[in-house]
Amino acid sequence: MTSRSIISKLLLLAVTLVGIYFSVQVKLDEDALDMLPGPALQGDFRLLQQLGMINRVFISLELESDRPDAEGLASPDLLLSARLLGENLAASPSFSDVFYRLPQGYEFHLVAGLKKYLPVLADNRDLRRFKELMTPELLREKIRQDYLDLNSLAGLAMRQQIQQDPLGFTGVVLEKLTALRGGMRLTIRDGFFVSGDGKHCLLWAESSTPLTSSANAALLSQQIEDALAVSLKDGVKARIIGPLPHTLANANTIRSDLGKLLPVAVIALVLFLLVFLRDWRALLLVAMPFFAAPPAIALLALVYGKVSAMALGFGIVLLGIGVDFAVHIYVGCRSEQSSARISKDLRKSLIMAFLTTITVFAVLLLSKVPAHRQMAYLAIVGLSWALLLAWQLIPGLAGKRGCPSGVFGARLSGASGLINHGWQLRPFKLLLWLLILAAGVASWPSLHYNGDLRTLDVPSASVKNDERVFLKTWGGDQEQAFVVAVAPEQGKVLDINDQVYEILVKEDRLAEVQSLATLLPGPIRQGKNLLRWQAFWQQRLTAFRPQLEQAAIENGFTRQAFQPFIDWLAIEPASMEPGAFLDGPLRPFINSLFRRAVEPELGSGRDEVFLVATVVPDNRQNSDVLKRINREVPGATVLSNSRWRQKVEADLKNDIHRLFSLAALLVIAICTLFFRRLRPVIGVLAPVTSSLAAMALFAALTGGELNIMHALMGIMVIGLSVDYGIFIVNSCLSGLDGRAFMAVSICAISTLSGFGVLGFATHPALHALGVTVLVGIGAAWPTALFITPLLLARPASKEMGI
Amino acid sequence: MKHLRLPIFLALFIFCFIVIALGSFSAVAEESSLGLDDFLGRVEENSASISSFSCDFTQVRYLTIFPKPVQFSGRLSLAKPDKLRWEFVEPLPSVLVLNGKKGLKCSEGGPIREFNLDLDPVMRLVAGQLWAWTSGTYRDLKDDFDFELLPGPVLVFSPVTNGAASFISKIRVVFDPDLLQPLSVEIREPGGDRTVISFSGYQRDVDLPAALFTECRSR
Repeated sequence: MTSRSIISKLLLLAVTLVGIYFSVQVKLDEDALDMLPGPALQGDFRLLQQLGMINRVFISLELESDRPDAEGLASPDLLLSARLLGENLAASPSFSDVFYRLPQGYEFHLVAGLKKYLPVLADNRDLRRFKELMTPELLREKIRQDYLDLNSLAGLAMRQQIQQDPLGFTGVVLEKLTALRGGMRLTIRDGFFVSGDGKHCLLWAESSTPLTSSANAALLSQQIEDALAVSLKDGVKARIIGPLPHTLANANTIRSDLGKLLPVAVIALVLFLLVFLRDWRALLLVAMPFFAAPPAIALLALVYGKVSAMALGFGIVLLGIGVDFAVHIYVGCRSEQSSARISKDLRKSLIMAFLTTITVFAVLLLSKVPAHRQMAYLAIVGLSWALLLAWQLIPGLAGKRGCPSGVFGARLSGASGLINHGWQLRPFKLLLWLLILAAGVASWPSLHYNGDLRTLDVPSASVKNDERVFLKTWGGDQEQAFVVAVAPEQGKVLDINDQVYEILVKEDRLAEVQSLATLLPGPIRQGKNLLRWQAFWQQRLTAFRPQLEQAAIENGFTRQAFQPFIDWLAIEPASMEPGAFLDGPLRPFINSLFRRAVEPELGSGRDEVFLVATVVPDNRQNSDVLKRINREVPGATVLSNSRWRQKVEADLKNDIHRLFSLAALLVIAICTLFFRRLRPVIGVLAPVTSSLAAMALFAALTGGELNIMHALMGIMVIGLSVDYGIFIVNSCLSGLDGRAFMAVSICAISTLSGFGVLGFATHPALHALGVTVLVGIGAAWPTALFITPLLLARPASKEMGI
Repeated sequence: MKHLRLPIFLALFIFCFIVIALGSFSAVAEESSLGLDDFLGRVEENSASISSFSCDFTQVRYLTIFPKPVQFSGRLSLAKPDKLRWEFVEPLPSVLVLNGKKGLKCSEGGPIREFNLDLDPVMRLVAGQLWAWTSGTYRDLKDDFDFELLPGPVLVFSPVTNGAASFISKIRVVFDPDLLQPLSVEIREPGGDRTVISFSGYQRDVDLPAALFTECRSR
């Protein structure tokens, strides 16, 4: 070994060690935003995060079914369990908010608050109701009832309220509070949120940390379990609903799948390499991506600041292509007469394969999806480093074995024999290949890209059952759309929310709508209500006053009994400050719909924005009104799952089409530049066209749906398939010796055994990953071996130079 | 929430006290030698021995919004632990029934209104106080009131919390010196309004028909 060689190897080692040092310090970011294309969709998702929708956990307590029916009354044990659980969760720093009970005496605070703001809360409909109550007949009836109430058991402390609100106007406005409940079927009993049958009690809490992270979810789940253990009374059980059980179920399924399948894949791969190559050092080939990854991760963190966990996971998978470079060098060097050298032909193939692969990932850098860009960057740097490592380390490793002999030589002879028979049945083979391509092309239009990430979700049977019971108990079984008003000021955001509500009123689409607009009108609507209120009393007060006095006298009161009410009407009404009810007794409901958030991307500092959500059933009947709101209300964004899914699908589809086309053009250009002839270019592309056709055909036969996993692994399959074509074509052009055939086969089999086994996974994401590789490589490999040579000119000599 | 009214628990406090005191038949008073705690203990002890009772009452309200005092009379029935009927007979019949967590309110010619203590905050407060007193735990209310025992014996309650003080300034209960039963209860409100309830004709441990606590109809 020369000193130059030693220095270069030490340099490689140093860079790798530095990479390891920095890469272990990289903090991973599990932000789902990284997986969404384009700023618009990311903005939508951020709104949901800011509203707390993503981190919310619902806990439905339930009396065991064998408990006696409580006749619709909440059991003391149930309420006690809810109180204890709420208190225990609230004591944990892991939860930013826990709602389990309205504060004691909330009703009285609420009535007092509503009475104060009656002039700005009462709308046209309320004024019509007031007008009815003021008709002489109803007036007399109401005053008579007041007289009875005052003299009843419950009337000893009612004097003040009856004097100040003899007609019960406050009660009319109280009905507006039903809009806070939306489609939820809950009643409030002693401040607790109880189902109609009294057998269920609802609590909800917000996690301080993102629940899309499996680590956070596991921690939070444990804390909830601990709290449940010390809070629930006998006969009370809990069901946990929200993103938390889904995150846990997915993590558990993936863990279970990998626990079963990874050992199988590793054992299969190791056995294959050992048996086929009869050299334990060949195992180092598999380790190449792991040596290449650390410097790539460190550079990724340096360039992007934060590293997406998704990008890292898939990026490392893509580095698996690096194994192929190492395998080709190993096989090439082991079969060379002068060992420890990479031949000129192999060098050319390696450079070309590297360029085409890097080109594919360079194009992926243009993706709208942030995680895709990071993935591409990681792959480019990692594969570059993997090639360098393989180039420097593998020849020496393989060369020490000397010339091919024994089992290895026999394998090489076998590969050569395969080539010798390759030209037999040429027309039949070409026809079969063309048929596969035609079938792939024919099935392409039937494919549909499903952007709904829920297709990759695998809730367990118990999670599904809990959700079914939850929906049956509490309602809300319809898809929901969120209309989110955003503004930098509280008053402005409430004005926008009012515009949303007014459109819903005009279109008569208020059924099961959850809105703050009735309780928290914005300044503009408050002003309008106030003007109406003043006009209402200006027109009526003079006539109404003697009628009220007369009704009072007729029903046993003094003439001046209700003077406090008349005096109150004369007071200048107060405008309601936006925060009037925010910290009041209804905070649990308001907090779900009203948020103040920090928007770090705005300006240079920590600018605040205010968000108000209106929840609308996302059904066909509301489709037009939601479109209208989105179109006509500036500052309001409609977050509808159906609309969102369409947008994700369209954006991702567009992204994939654009990038795939560009990558294809560049790969063709590189091949053309290298070969300058059509046949070799077609030969190179044959495996990748087969893999694309096979993947399309398989997807069409299994439902026609593609998801993000198909797209990501499709990129890897394309990279590998093009490489297969390059090595085979170069091998054929330089006078078939079987090395490339053997190396491609080793690569394909190791890839199939490593990734293909994931096709047996339960989790849809892993399954899609495995199946894509199985089908894609399963088609590309035989195409490279049996079709690519046929597309080239038949070699003059078929002598194998072994 | 539609029919919410301001809290009336203070008024019910009086009522509850009355209920307890009406049960105190057996004791012979030695009030001159009793301290406040002893007196309350004796009342509590006596009330615990009663399973049911009924009596007549007269309520007179002296409110500034009434041109003259308004007198209502009726009958109170109670069966431990959680059944009560407060019935006005004259001049305007009306009934309030509490039965466990459920209840009825009705007046002549008006609809029968059912309520649930879990859902009706006012009646929940009423019942909470009532059951506390009837089960002999009325000492818990000492957190909310100052108690004073005067010769007579007369028990005077003054609310110590702001909320209570806004509705009631003082409650004065005059006891039968021999039987420790209240003869009258006077509730004074800030501003001078007051209510006086007088009791008579009480019967202890009587068989009360179950329908009394499930129907509004008069018996």
